Amino acid sequence: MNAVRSAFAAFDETLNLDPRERDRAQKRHNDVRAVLESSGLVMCTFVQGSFARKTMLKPLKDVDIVVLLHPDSGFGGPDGPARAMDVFRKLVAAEWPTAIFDAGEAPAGKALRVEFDDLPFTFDLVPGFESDGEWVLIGDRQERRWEPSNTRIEIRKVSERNVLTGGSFVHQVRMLKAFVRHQTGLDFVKGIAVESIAFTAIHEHLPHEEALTQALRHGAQALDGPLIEPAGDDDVSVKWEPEERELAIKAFTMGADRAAEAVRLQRAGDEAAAVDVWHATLGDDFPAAPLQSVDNLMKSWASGSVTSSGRTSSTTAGAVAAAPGRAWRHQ
Amino acid sequence: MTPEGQDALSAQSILERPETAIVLIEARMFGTTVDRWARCHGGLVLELTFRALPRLVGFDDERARVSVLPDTRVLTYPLGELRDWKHRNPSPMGPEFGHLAGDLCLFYPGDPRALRWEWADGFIAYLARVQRHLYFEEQWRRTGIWPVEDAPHGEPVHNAHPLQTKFMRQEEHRWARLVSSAS
Repeated sequence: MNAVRSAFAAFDETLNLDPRERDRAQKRHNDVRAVLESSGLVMCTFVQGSFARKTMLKPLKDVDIVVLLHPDSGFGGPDGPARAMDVFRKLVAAEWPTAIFDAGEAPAGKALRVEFDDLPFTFDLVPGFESDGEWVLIGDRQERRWEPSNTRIEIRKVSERNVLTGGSFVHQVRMLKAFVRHQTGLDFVKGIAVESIAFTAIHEHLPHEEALTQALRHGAQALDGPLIEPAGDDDVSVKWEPEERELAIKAFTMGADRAAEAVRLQRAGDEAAAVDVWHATLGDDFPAAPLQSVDNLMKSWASGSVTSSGRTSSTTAGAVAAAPGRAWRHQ
Repeated sequence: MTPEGQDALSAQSILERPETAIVLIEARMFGTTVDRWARCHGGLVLELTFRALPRLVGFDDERARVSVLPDTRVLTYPLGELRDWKHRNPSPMGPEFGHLAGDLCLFYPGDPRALRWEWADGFIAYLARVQRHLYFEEQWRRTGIWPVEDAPHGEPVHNAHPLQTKFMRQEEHRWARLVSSAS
């Protein structure tokens, strides 16, 4: 495997959730489901969000579980979401007496937050009802209403895209998320926005470096307008301020330029310089390039190029060409 | 013209729209900032800082003043403390002034086109030569060796100083091909 591909493999490994942690989350989900279903009020549960779509970055912080209530459970009115969460709280507390509920931040309207003392991540229990087709109704205890949600369609669409790309899509979404995390001031670009960009840009199996280049270039253009999530319904950038949008476009444009430069360097045969540019673009989770000796740096600088990451290359594929020349003095 | 056909900042664009050019310079060139600029008698003066490349541990930032004259000639003067220079013209005020107000000699005018800078290469290509020259000078101060073939000072009696090294001949051929394929 060449240096760029090896570096991407290591990068991918760094971003993946710890499989043991994922197993623990899945097991606790099963246990919670069993407890809730034993009440007779719950039909079934399913995991939603980036954990369900397998696009979550390490570390695992929270697991979102939609708890589908029985249609005749009596929770259908405006008080239903709050009453359902109260029932969840009692059932979980009876089984796990040390569990803590809604700790820390202000309680979310749409979820009861549960912390278990033996797990480093939290669970969000979201009350819901089956609706038309794949749609569900999600309860909001603060707004006192049930709202339609396409969360299951999102999960299916991302899963289908992942199959279409030979399983590389979710890995590439995580890499694009890592890019956003590495940028200053892009906290407002949530994971679903990044997934939406990747979903529109990546349709086939591509090596990671090419898929990321394509997604960054697409993002630089697409961020100028509505950003529709994978289910095809909502603009996930609708709350962004104009200056936030401008900042995101700038970051994606710079990222796309650097990605294109890295691909040029790789194609020109300077894998170390390509790795160096990817490292500068994606942050410290991406492996660093082998160190360049000063002699090698000077020789490549004499004729070649200088990359955007400040490495010299004997190829002309870096950001700025370094044409050869003989320094002189007229006397 | 650079091999990629990029960096095409012309004399006209620099003189007419320096703000736009500066944004491009800073975005494109690693660690380069334009600290000050001013229009001057129809020309333009830029003061730049070039941060040392990351692997040049212990090297300081380098600074230079670049003057684009109204007739589009470009002259570069290094800034900073008094130091030895290998490829910098002596002071126009006389030998007792050392290098004071002497400009850098970035390339030998008698060399083949691929080894010389012209406006067709774009202004960023010129600044890239300035940046490299400043660090080559520092490497020379540290090691006593210029990192690549340089030209003898002064003009020869006949013709031009011939290329001496296989490396420079090879690179001249490589860049001549690149330039011709890009134009």
